[in-house]
Amino acid sequence: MSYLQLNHISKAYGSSMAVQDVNLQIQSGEFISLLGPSGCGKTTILRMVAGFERPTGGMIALEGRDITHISANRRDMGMVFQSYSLFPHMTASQNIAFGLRVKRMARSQQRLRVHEMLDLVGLADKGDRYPHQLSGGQQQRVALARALAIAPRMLLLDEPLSALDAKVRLQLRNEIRRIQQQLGITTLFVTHDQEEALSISDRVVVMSQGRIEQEGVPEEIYLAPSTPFTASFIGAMNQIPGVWEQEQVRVSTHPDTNIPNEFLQTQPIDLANGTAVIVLVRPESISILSPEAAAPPDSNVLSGLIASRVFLGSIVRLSVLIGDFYLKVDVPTDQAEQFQSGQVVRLCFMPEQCRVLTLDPTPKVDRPIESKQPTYTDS
Amino acid sequence: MRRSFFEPVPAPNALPFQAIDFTQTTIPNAMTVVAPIDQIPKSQAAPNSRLWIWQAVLLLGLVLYLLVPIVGLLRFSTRAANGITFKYYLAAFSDPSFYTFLGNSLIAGLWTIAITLTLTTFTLYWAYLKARWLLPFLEFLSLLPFVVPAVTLGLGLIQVFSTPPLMLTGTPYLLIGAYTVVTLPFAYRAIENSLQGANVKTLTEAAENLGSGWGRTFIEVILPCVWSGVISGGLLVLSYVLGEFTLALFLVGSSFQTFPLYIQQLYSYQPQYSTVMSLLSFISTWLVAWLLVVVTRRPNQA
Repeated sequence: MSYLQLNHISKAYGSSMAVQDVNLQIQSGEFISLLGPSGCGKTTILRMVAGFERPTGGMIALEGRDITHISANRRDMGMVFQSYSLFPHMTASQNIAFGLRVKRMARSQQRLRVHEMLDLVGLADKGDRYPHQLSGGQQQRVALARALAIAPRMLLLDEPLSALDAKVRLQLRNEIRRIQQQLGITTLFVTHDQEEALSISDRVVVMSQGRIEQEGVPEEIYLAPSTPFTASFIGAMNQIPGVWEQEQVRVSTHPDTNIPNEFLQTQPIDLANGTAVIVLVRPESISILSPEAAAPPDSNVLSGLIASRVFLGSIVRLSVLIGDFYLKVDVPTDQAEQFQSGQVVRLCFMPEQCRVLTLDPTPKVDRPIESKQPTYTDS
Repeated sequence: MRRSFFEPVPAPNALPFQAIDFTQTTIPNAMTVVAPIDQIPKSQAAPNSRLWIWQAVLLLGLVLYLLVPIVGLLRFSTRAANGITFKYYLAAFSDPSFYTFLGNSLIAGLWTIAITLTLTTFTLYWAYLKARWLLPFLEFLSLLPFVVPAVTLGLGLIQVFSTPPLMLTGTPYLLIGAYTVVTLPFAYRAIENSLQGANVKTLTEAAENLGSGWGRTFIEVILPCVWSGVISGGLLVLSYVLGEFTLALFLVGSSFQTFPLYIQQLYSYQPQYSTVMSLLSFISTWLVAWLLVVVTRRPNQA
């Protein structure tokens, strides 16, 4: 039995459906991230789990018990909000002790627990500070300590890092993951930052327009997106439109129909000839061949013109015009100087580095006949 | 030379960028903004000093306009045949009526504070949490007392509450009810300003999430955050009630004589005594205003 179950959860605001028929199972001790753009329904789901919103339809069960209509103050969950939400007139210690006082814990036990929580989040010497005397990162640590102090059955985090600068965000997300693993607490984390979600989650649930697009381990979400939305949302992804013909994809690379089209080799898939498809390939999976180099056997080779180059720190992203579409190619910065705008280059990528999605109205996962995807065992 | 890392494909209609060398540009008849200040002709001197003088003159005039009558009151209340006397002040503090009527005003004020602040705080809190769409309507309601003159309100209340079963004319209950209505704008504004800066919804949810019920959340979490607004609203209500004359005259008259009515009654046969009361009334209002400044100047912990 799952620890937390969302069964056919829906939420409507007037005629607008914020969440549509979502089903999700979370196991005990898991760290699950709900990932998606603004307005996709991820925060609404979190708030329904916390009890701040009532679902329009469906059921929420925690450890087998229906909690759909139980009020928020009786659900025994700890939540960290985006906007810190520390009580401004209380010190850090008093904030952490608030939930313990509500539970009528003895004063001596409260003090011990508060010290334990402050130690856990690395703020042992900041207990007597007021929130306005703490930095953003410190305030979120106190908020986390306050949520954990009451020993909740589940930890809910609503974009807790979005208001912090990049360096603090990186530090704190690792802290959150460390604490979660140390305590073994089941956690639901909402974010729009894919790097956050991919780096600290056991599983990622990608959402769009109130529905789940895909759920899986981070590697699967990144390497094997099963819908066009997931493919475009997670990382940079090249999407090459084409038509499935004779076990390969015909791609029109030249507007002039007198010039033959290119054909791309992909993994074997059971599709009818003439099916409209999209070939997905990551920029880092494409390499640039030197003029004299021979392409590896069975590889896909496309020629194009470098239209632009963007410096991104450790990599330079080249935009290569091939016929009537662009391919993004990532090149390490120390190798990028040889590639300039206006240069003709040959791009190369292997069939197993491509994924093929159909362009059906209801996109479904197209699994290759003999999957060469790595398998993942549950933790 | 290392070329730029970013070389976008040029847009077909892009205008060429033309650099302008400002060091070579001359603007006829323009003031040289970098010239030392002592080389700027007086006629072109910055107008700030003249503005400051005018501001000082206006402020002084305003202060004199406000202070001169009070100084006059002070002189009148201490005037004796052969100098200065404080006998009227001594008489005021030893007169039992002084305490009775001041006490009536204070009673009315405290009850008005209790009712107005309770109603306003809870209503605004609920609106901020559950019905933000109601806020413009509440704001409109809170401004209505400014529109209705006190005389009109007083006469209207007498009409309604002079017949059974609501025979309240002449009782302090009607007066307190009327004060509750007319002081609503003061309480509303003070509390609403505090609530706006307090992120009430998130704080409430945070407290709920930690297991707190509505009562504890309001008392331990929300009220401390809006306390300065509550105090400010209370002091504004009190200062209004202590000085309010028209409604007290119409609604209660001598049956529950308030301090302003007492001052007015005294003036007809003991003007100096009445002047002392007026001055004490001013002083009490200044004290309230000073308290307001102190309370609202407390370090904001939000």
